[in-house]
Amino acid sequence: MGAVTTGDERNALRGEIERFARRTIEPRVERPERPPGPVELAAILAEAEGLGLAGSTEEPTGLGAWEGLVDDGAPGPTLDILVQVGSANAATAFAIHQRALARAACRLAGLPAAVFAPLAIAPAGHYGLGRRPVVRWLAGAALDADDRALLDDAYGSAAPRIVTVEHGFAGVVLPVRVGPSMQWLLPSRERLTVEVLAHAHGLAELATASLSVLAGADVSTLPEPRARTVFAAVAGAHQLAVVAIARGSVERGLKLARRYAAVRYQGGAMIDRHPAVLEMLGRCCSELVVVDALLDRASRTRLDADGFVAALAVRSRAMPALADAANAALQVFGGLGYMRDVGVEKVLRDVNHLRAIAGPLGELDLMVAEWERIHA
Amino acid sequence: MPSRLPIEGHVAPDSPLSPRAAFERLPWLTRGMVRYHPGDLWELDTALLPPTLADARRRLRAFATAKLAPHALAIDAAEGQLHGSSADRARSVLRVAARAGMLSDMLPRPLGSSSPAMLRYPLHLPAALKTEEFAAVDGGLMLLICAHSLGTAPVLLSGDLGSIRRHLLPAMRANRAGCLHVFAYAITEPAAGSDVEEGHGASRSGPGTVARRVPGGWRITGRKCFISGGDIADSTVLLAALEGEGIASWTAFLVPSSADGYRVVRTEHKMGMRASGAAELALEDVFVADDRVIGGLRSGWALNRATLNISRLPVAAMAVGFARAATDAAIEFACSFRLGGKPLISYQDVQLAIADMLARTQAARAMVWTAAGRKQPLQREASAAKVLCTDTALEVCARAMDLLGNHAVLHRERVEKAYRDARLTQIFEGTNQINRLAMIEDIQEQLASTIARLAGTRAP
Repeated sequence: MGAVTTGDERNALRGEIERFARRTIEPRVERPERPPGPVELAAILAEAEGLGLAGSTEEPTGLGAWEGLVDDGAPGPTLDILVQVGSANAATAFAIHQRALARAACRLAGLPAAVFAPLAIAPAGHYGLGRRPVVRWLAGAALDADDRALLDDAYGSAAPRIVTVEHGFAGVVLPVRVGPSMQWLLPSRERLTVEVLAHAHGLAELATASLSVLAGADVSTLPEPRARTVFAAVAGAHQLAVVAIARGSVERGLKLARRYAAVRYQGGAMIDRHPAVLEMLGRCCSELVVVDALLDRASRTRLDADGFVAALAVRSRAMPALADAANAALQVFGGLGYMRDVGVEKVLRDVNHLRAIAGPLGELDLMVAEWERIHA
Repeated sequence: MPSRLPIEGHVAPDSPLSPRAAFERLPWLTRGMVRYHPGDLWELDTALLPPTLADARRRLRAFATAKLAPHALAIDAAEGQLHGSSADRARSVLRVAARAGMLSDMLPRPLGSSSPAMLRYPLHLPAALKTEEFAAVDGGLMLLICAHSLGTAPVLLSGDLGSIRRHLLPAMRANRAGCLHVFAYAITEPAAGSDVEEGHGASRSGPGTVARRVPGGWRITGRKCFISGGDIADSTVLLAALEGEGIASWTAFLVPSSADGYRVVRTEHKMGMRASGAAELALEDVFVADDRVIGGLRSGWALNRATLNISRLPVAAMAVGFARAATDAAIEFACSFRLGGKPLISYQDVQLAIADMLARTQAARAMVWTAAGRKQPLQREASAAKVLCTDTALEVCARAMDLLGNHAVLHRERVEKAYRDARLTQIFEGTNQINRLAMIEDIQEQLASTIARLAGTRAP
């Protein structure tokens, strides 16, 4: 099957994912206070691999996330896939995204993706994306000593990187500063010092770890213009992915909130008749409409340097909006929403987690402004 | 002393262009009006308080730092809470708090443990100081300790000296001796959450927990849910309607947890504030003697609303504590984490974010202290403070998480915990939506007179 392009193909893909969510994911995530452990998640992901959702190390499956990134540089149906899977379980969507983007990144960077499975990716530095200097580098602008120092530090191999990954990851794709350029490292787990850290916020199905790279990992040797292209595509894809997954997760929260509001009786009526509750449900819906519009445009936008900056802008606006929407969904439940077995607080934690792990939000507007300044 | 000045982007305090250095060159009279010492942020706020309250705030912080902080992360991380592996640790912290007088400070010595000078201040003001200081360290431990004070509040507010003497004073004595006697307060029912927090909803709601008259007392049947500290309480002030009547007949009963038919049927798995259990209580024909009716029959609704007016300010204050915790954690991160060879605090956008967190937290605290300064708390002010401070707390926590980026999800950084803890403050003591309506409920006369004054002044 070729890349998904027509409406019919998209509908078929949606149907396939819906079946996957209903049969494979839903039964394993029925108890939100007891999220699937590593073995259960691995079983879910094995089925996702069987469907080709995480792409392939060989020929494109046509259903795989981020396959379009290699072909034409745009996300294509990937964001749809992540929204849909994310609405069933955010951690599953994130793991599929990581496997797929890692494969796409390897293909783009000329690295051997097939040697490690499962493969993860963390396309950021040890604290975010490298602020304005990374934008200047992408634009081909001159870097001063401070810029170089920041990029050398952010993407150096000395500082450990905090990443959220599958428990059983076998290798990871990481951007690394090599000379004046940005290349990609592919260390196996054995070539890493891995310290799994306690994380208590969202995506409890996954591990958060501190990774330090030891010597001896494969590293790409992309020429400078190509290095910029690949970085923009891969890092931009990651920015959009967390938005899409969070968007799916909020849809789940909204569904739970609507269902509850339709049966909970307070103040002499079902609570979905009270403006106080309608306002929260409406806010949640409105945020989704706005984010959908952003993602729809992003799915058709080539992730070159311009597209990368647009992706930063999308994440900068969308993630607070989605967190606000998840918060409103929780509030609909009152005290019940705070309890872990209801599931809506997990939505909020997952969205917050996704908001955090692609780097600090504060740098995004600075980077967008820097790009505009350079190109004014 | 700072390790290196100036912080990037600023002139050093001793620079001729620094305002404070420049003030020193002014004539002595002007200098007296404008000069100041920057001081420590927390101490500067404390200095705004009268000496008695300032001393209390210092003691509370010292206690929280020494006795609560060492347990905060471990108890939060433990699964199962008080029914699990952390039960002993939580109880032992509670015992330490009891010995330190933290479970008996609602009354002055010799009846309780607070300073007699505290009598000059309304009950909710020291309570607000206490909840902020404890919340700044850990929300769960704060609630573990302060839910007890909430449980005692209806007894105190009833003004029923007999009940105070019979039930409260022995419990306070026991606590001071380290023999725990914990109170809880049970309002919420499975079918009535918001309905029992505001009058309009209550007028349309049927009672779920009902007391039936029997010789010598009452038999109570029903369920209460989300009761903070209900799992460990020895005595619970529980609101129940009288048989055949509505919520207007609510009466406060002091129910011993040892009573036949009283069961803790469930403890919730919560998003945050995990050191404190939220319990569901089942009562099946529980006998409560007449001398355990608090404040008289049918006075429960009044006691409930009075308790909420008092307890909403401490909720606002605990939100300030969470905002402070997140801000402090963000500052520590920004001062210790290095990027590009310098601390994160060197970057202007990071300074802007931290300044914003400090400003919001300070504004929220000012609102609490202003409202808590009144002898009688106003419903509209208590609710306004609760709404604004809790919303602010969540914004500040989210901002701090944004600043930490991918480090924000780590338990050890404490920011995500402050967020999880803070999230409950938008819900309990009435959701923020109910509290907004409580403000309008309280200014109805003013609104009605505005309607009358403006009638006919606009075209239809």
